Amino acid sequence: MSDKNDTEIEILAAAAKEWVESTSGMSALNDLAEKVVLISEGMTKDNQIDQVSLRKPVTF
Amino acid sequence: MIDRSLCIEAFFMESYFLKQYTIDNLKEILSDHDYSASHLIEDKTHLIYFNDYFSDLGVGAQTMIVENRYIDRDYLEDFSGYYIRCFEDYERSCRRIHFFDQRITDDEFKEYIKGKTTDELQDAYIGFVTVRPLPKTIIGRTCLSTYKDDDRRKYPATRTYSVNLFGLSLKVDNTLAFQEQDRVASACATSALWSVFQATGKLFEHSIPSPVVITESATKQIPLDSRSLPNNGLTAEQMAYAVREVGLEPLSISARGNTGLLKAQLYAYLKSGIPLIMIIDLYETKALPSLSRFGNERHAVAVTGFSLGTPIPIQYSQHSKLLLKSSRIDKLYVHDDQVGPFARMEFKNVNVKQRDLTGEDTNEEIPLTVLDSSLRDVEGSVGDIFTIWDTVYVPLYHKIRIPFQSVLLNAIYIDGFINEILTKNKFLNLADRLVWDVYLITVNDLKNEIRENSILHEDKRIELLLTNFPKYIWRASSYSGDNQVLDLLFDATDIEQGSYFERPILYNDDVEIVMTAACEGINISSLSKKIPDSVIGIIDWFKNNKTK
Repeated sequence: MSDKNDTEIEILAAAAKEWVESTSGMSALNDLAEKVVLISEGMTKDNQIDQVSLRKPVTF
Repeated sequence: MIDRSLCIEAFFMESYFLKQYTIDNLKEILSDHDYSASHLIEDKTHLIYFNDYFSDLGVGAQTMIVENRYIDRDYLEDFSGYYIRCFEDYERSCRRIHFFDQRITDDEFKEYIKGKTTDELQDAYIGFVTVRPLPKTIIGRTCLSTYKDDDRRKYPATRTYSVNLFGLSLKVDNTLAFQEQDRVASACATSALWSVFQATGKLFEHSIPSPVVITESATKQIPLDSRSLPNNGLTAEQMAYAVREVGLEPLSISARGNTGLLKAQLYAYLKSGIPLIMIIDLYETKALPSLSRFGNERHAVAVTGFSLGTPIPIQYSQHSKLLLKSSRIDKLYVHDDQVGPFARMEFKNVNVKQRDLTGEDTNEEIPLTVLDSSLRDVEGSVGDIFTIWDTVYVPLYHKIRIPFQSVLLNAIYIDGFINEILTKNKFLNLADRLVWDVYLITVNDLKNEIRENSILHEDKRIELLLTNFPKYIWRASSYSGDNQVLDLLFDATDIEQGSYFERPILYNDDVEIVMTAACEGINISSLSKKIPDSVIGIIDWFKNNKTK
């Protein structure tokens, strides 16, 4: 449920749309993408299986 | 003339006996057969576990009923695969000890057998331990109720086991079968796999093999350089092969250097009821800050639950302020065949000496997150061994194809969009920063939840209930404080290329209106090509204003 009246939230929504359309809005969205790429690369590295360790004939 | 009452009394005596629960009485029962002796049983770590679990601070066991002759399918298969060919005349049947949290007299129990309704008996039932007729590795199939699932302790990878005790139908809810390795048909790897298959067998409908069958199938294509039976263990590749043999796919994850990512992945699969196999290396606590291996062996455990003991979620990484519910995990509950079922392993931060290129310790210390264990060292002390996780295997139904990391990246982007762009610029006003709960769910469970949801407007609920969804769904749910804000639903059975985003569920009107308007304003062709396709799918969904 909204805690604002319809006009208030519609004004905010219109302002959000306008800001996203602007150069600074688009640049903020693309900066966010850069961050996600960095996190994704870190994740791939962190999740990498040590194949050498796995293939060691160690039993358990 | 035969006195029938005497005959029946003899039957009773031959079939079972009752004993008050004390740890000494339990030890006596465990060692009371031809091949075992109390000194062999005394050293078992399981007794420490049972002592804690059955105590008044645990489940408060009062009475034990011992079934003298119980045919256990798993032991029987191990027996026919190995023990029957021994010169020693090992028994084919086991004993089964049933535990109750009420005082039950012999006369009261006889009344149940004679026909009294079992409701009270069921209420008092804790579960059972099967005792194998072997010299030392006696703990066979064990099903014991977990402590109550509360806000902290979670045991999602459990099921109900039916028990028939002399015609009395009982059940053990919220548990997962456990057994220790017998060091013949199974080592710890086989025991962990066996416990995991107990859950996945029900979940994904595959047959549940016995330990000897798991060992044989694991070593069939990738034989060991030594004999497979008696079994000294499986390699990681053989464990993966055993998972394939039951028709599942072994997804391997590591996250050695990122505890947050490890917790997030364990949580995401466990919450959907899928237990995982964790391969761990053992280290001596006394040697810290030097890292000193405890023997050269590795150990495998089945991860079956977790504790959300950290009160506040921790930021995912230095690059993302994302708050995940999984970051509150402080302990894992594991089936460790050397300790017991649902044994605690606690995350702990230690400092260790950094090593140089030759592998020698330097004077510089670095922080490391490890897992404490309840394993015993050579002197029999508990608490002197800690572990570092190596690889985790997730046994997955083959159609669950989208990996967790991909879904998490979508959540990270949308979290940034809502918190860093819409909230920071005051287009939205959320009471608290979003906390994300990311996990796998089946369409049936999702729809059951939607049906019960009191926040969603009836029209939205009906629309969601009538929408077709894939069988397995990745769900990223966000909360502001206790309030549900937004769910992102992804098709877990799709392929990673392109968008696998299905649709959102919007619980908060403000978020719905502002997100829709903001997405309408986004010029997708001007967006960085680095943005994942599914994020574009999410923006596109709002852009086309499909919200109703």
